[in-house]
Amino acid sequence: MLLNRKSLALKGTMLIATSMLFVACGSETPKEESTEVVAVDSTVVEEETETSSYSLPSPLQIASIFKKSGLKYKDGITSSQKDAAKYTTNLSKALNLGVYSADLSYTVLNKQNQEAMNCMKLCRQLADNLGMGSVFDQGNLSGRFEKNLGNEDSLAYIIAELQMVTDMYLDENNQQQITSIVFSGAWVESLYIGSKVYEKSKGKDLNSKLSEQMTILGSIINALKAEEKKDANITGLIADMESIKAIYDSLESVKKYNEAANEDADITLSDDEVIQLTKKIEEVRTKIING
Amino acid sequence: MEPFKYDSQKFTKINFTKKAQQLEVEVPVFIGEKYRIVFNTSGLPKPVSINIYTKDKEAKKREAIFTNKEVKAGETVLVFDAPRARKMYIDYDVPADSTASPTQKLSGCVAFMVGYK
Repeated sequence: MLLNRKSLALKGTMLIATSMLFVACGSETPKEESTEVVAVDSTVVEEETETSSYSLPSPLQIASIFKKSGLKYKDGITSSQKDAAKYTTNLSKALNLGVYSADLSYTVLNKQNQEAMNCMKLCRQLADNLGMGSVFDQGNLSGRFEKNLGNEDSLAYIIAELQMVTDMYLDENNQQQITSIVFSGAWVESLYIGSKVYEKSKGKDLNSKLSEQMTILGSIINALKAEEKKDANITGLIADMESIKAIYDSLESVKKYNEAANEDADITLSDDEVIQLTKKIEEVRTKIING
Repeated sequence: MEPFKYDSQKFTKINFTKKAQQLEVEVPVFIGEKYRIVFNTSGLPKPVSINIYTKDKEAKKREAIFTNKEVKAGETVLVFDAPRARKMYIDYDVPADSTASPTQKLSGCVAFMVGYK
């Protein structure tokens, strides 16, 4: 039964992904009719195509990696801010949508049903406030989430589907900057959760996964910079993310790793280095949560 | 497609112009994880060369770890199992379109999904 459900969910995700391609490309049918000739007003300067762009991972993927490395559930570390209406700017809404998305993945993968439901509601509320609440209605995602509470696999597939329809919605509406901001919030929250659990467990695998997360920070910063011209409010967020990178790059273990220039090697931080990094992540996370 | 989980994708809109273009998508990945990238090129009005590297286009020396050069005409779903890496760079080499004009140009879209397990 579970396999059937999984298989159906996977097929559903593939169907969504395939149909999304055609919607996003602005054509309804594949093959011949996909050739689209765009009439351009001759007085309009030709739009420049971005030559570099970024495809960032999902909060669910990060939560899965942490879980595989032994990240256990710890009560009370998800965002304490349970009033989404507190966030009034688009930047704070998008950042905290990321925070709640990371909390959602963490609680689902750890079978914390009630808290997962609360996170889902907060995500929905912020998505509504950002004018993109309709993505939750596609394929009755909210309803299916509630119906499948307790079934970790199904919930994970629903979150994956939600991520895909959200990304497509933002792409279609030329709001890719929101994707990068949401992911920044999710990434900071994931690192915060990982570092808080590490404080207690001191697991070696978790340590290396924490430092590995830092290797994608450069991509996040570049993705934000690429969107900065669309939203000048991102500038402060870039500075915050760069401050985390500066701390990380200054750590002895990281300097040694960079000198060795062996990309395949794992980086293991000392406890003191994890504390330094955690302190900075906590500082940025507090700023995000306080709006 | 199984047993990979897919929850991220990237659409790239391509405008064919008189000049050839190289569009690059940076995909950060985590070492030790297994990834599969699935492309869908059915939204393209004409072929685009797809290459994957572990270094960006500014790098002096880099070798493609995937190319669609050998793919049969008409095949629009391409699957690539990624090796151990920290980053992948997906390059779309878009050929020049001599028929493009300031008032009319061909456009299309290519997409990929990243699966992990």
